[in-house]
Amino acid sequence: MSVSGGFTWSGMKEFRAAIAALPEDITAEASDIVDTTATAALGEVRAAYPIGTDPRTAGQLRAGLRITTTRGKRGALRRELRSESRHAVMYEYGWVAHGPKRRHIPGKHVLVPIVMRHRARMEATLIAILEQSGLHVRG
Amino acid sequence: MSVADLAAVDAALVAVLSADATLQGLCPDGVYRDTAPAGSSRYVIVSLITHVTEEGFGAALYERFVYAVKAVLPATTGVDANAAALRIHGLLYRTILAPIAGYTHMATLRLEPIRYMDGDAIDDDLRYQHAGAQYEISVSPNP
Repeated sequence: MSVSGGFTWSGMKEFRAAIAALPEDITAEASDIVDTTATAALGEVRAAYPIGTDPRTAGQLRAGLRITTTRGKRGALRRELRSESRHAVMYEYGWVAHGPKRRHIPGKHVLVPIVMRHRARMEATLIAILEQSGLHVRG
Repeated sequence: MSVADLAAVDAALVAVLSADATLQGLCPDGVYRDTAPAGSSRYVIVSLITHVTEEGFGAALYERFVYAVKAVLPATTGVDANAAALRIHGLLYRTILAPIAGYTHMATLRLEPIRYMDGDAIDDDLRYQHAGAQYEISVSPNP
């Protein structure tokens, strides 16, 4: 395989557009990385979520994890990790403990930092693939 | 090489939100990190989600902080909470956050909005609205 050329990207929008415009063999390799990243992030979030002891809610956070897939033109792949249990957003960002001594219970911040860390690693890997293919990526 | 105190960014963020009269009007109980005192009902929560240091040339080039910043209000609709979220956005988005001890502010961007309702399992009429966003604050440690 031999690819030559160059482009400059200044943001994620341009980066995604550049990825979507790549030859199919590179997008296939990039898709594998996106796929692996989403699966790894799901595994880490699942392990970090508690199972809980209340039989009414035990395991709901873990059971609510989903990866959705969207395919675009030229093999472009978008994988989105979603936490769809009813209490996921409150677990992440906090809630108010009701009753006479109501107070704000801090969020646990589990999903967001894990996904951010995996996404940053994925972007670095994708940039390395582009550069190995002869493309120049400048941020 | 400087060693800046990460808490300085927390403090600057809380200070800019606390000083605004419009936000005080909407959330009179104050601005707090992570949790509010018991009995508070209308307040703003600032919570650090993640922090990354970008290294280079043998030192920290810049640091990125991601915060969840949200208003919490008891209401059946999100009108007041959304107004508070809009005010928070006006105070933070692409504005200069200063002074920050040990750092120079670079940029503040919004990543994702935060909007949800927190209901009470026992009292159906008691609902708390949470509204705000994740904000990414980039700062450069002073030499």
